[in-house]
Amino acid sequence: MRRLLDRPLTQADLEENTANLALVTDESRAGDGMLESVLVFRIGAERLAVHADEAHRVVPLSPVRRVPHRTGDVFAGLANIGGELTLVGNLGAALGIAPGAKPTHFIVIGNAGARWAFAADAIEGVRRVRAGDLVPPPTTVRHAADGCARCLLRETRDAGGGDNARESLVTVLDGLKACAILARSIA
Amino acid sequence: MSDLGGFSLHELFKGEAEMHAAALSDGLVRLEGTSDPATVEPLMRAAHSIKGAARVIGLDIAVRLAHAMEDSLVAMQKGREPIVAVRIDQLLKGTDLLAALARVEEAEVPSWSAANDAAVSAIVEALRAAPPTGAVAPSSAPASPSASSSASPPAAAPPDSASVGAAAPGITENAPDASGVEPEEQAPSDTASPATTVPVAPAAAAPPATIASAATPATPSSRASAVRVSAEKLDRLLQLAGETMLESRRLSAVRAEATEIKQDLARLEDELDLLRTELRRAGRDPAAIAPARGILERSRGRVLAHLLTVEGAIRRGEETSTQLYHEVLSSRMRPFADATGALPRTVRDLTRALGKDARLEVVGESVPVDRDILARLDAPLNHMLRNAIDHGIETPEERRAAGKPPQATLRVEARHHAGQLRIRVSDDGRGIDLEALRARIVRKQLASSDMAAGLDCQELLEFLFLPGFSTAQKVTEYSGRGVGLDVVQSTAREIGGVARIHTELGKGTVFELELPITLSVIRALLVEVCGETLAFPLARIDRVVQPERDAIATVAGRMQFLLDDVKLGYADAGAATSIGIVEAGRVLALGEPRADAARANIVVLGSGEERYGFAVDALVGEEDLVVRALDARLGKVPHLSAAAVRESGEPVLIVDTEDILQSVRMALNEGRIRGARPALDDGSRRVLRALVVDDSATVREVERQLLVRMGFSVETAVDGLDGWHQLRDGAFDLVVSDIDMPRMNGIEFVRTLRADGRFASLPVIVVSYKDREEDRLAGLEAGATAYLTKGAFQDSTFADTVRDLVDPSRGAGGRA
Repeated sequence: MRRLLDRPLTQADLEENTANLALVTDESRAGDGMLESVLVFRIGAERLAVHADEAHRVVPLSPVRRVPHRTGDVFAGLANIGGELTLVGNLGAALGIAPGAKPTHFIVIGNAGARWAFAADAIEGVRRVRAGDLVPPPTTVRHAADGCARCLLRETRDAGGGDNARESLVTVLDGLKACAILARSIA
Repeated sequence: MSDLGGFSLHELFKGEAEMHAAALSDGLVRLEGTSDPATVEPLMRAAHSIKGAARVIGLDIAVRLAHAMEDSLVAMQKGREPIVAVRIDQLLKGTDLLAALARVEEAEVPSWSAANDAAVSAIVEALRAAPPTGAVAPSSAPASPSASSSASPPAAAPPDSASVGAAAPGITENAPDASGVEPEEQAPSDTASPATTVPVAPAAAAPPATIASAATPATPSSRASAVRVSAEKLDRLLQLAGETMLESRRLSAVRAEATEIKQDLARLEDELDLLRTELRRAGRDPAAIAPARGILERSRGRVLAHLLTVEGAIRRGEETSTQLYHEVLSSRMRPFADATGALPRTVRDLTRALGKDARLEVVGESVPVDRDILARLDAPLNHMLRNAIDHGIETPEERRAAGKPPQATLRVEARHHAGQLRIRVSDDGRGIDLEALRARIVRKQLASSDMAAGLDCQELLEFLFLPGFSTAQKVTEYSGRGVGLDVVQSTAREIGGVARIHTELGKGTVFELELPITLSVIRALLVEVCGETLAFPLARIDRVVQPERDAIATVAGRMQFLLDDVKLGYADAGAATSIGIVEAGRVLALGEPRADAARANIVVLGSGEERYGFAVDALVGEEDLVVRALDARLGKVPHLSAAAVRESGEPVLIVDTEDILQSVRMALNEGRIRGARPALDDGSRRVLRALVVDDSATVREVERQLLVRMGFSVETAVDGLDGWHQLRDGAFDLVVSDIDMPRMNGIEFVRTLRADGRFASLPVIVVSYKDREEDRLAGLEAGATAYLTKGAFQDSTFADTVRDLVDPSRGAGGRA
């Protein structure tokens, strides 16, 4: 493994890589406009996403210290994330999603100085999606005061066999709005 | 001046003065070319801004100069004065002086001021005088108009310094050797003389001239080594350095893993040896396993070598990262000189006002002091000096009569001693008459005469720290202002140190502060409460006891245990103190206590009679913690003072012992301590937000700091328009605004916001230099809730007003 990684690049490798990079550019021009990167994760049974550039860090869970007189249903406490004591919120509780069994990672969102971390049950990874696969959320969600859905991602998933292809929806969250909702728990 | 938010106020002033001086210099040259009064406006504003910034940091010499320049510019703008070259020249000279001052380091300011006082006075006088008679329009000005209107910088073109008269030698300064001497010679009767009364520390008895020149060579190195880094950046660096240290420690796991592989290989070798024996016994050739053995040996050798490499890398990594961490930590330290800059001035003013004569010696200016401690030393140092001058030292006549030199010596000294920062303020004055003090204590009914008679020297002196207790016969403007020595003691205690007084009648008095060297690292006792790790600062703990469950008895329905104080030197012989027990988990609202262990773990907080035992679930141990402020978004969290990250990387919260004691006392008084969790806080707090609008960075910073200290979250805006934009975007509980600002001034700003229904009842404090009644009325008519002058920062007026308008406890929580 190590040797494989250490091995010098051949001209062919370089050309192949260059071609791959060029391919992405072509792809992003094609279809319905630009490609967007979203980080897809799960909380309980819900599949959610944030824009990749809104996800500041994704790190394995670490201990969360409850803060006396502040910790509640949504505000969980403080965790040391990359040396920074970060506020941890329970996004599931804030959005009214039934909690999952076992969170695995923290996702850190928000602007510098106003960051929030929340636990996700599983990280599915970064998806590159076409603008055309994104649909506006239903009005019920769009007009709700606590709504933080930016759009919905339509995904066609192959569920076991050719004809069983099913369409599923991922809610793409607006990171800043999600932060604002979490911040309400300590206001 | 204390150090604020990474940059000292003086640094902010320097930046601002430099900027405005440049604008003045350009504008003046342009003005001379055009003679258009309309172009005077920005110049006025520039002079005005410098004046304001200088006033905030108490730089009178610049206030004087900028004020005179501003007046002169106003006269030009209003057409009361012609725009003449001579005047422009004077203004340019003034600008040069301000620009020169903007380059002076804080420590040099007193000597610079002394050296340039005459020059400034001369310019001020020249500006105040009517423009030179026979003055002509600039176009035909005699003073080589070509030179001043040409592109050459004004400083390089001093066309007719003669017309400014006595100011000339001082102004053409920039030659440090000349500057110190000449004004002194030129104007011996002038105000330059204070320097003789209060020589600056290093050159104590030397004449002012030598001070000025002696200070010069010392500065380039210190200037070169100082870099501006914001406090937030530094904190972040510290976090990352801490994380690096943590990561390198985690590498030890790699080492452990490699060691295990080595052990496995050793076992494998044993197995092979067994196999060889077996083979031999079975009559087979043991050499068959020789190749396997060879491979094994090679592997072992490689693992061993690998282990050594890893070992070395880990050790070096740990060393370097630990070093890095401590270096970053130590960069939070600032020289003690940062806190003493304003002291010579204080001494000068006070001795003059009180008819006394003293010189100030500052020793240990380079002693590193934690910036957070430094920021809090201002008040205590000032009070100790005031006290020494007002009460301690005698008049020159009295001193002569007592056989002392007429000039008293005040000494401010800082040094590190036994892991503590020791600050001493001493005088060689009359000392404290203990018998008079004793009589005063009885007269003030603070103790019965029997009791007072039994007090020893230290106990008597303790009374001096009581609020409102003053040994002065009369309340003077300078030391009897309601606040006094109690500030010294309370500050010392808040920082986690002590204040002491030593005195010898007729010889003098010494005030001594013993403070921790840094506030950023504290030694703490870690405990477990309801599954959470909490830290109690060791310095705040009376003791930790682990009484057996049986020893805990209920008295009047409350849990207590008897603490035998005799061995520990408390109270009277044979007495024991009953210490009431409070469940820490309940007070902190973390949950119900666990009462399964055979012994209770009690952390005793408080002192003397006011002690309480906090029952915790487990004692974890002692650890040095690097203190971090709690996230501002949480507001002031009751019972917590800060947070930290343990060496293990685990977060830990640090208990505010004073706050928790206060809560317990209150809860006890209200009978809430028994039963379920004491409802000490409703938790529904939020941080109050304030918007500070001012075009001066210095004023913004002062206001920001004051408000942050009061628990506000503060946003700043540079003028009315910026303020209005910010105001519309965010929910604010308070607005503090200046009047004179570009784009949209304070009056327009207040009018605009009042016209919007949403802000009809928003408290707005206008803080301006303008202190005329008509200005105040204009501000209040526009809709300001309060109108303060910028002098309000010197005392508590600003803070009191803020408190009156917005109750910070609504957001601060914790204390009632």
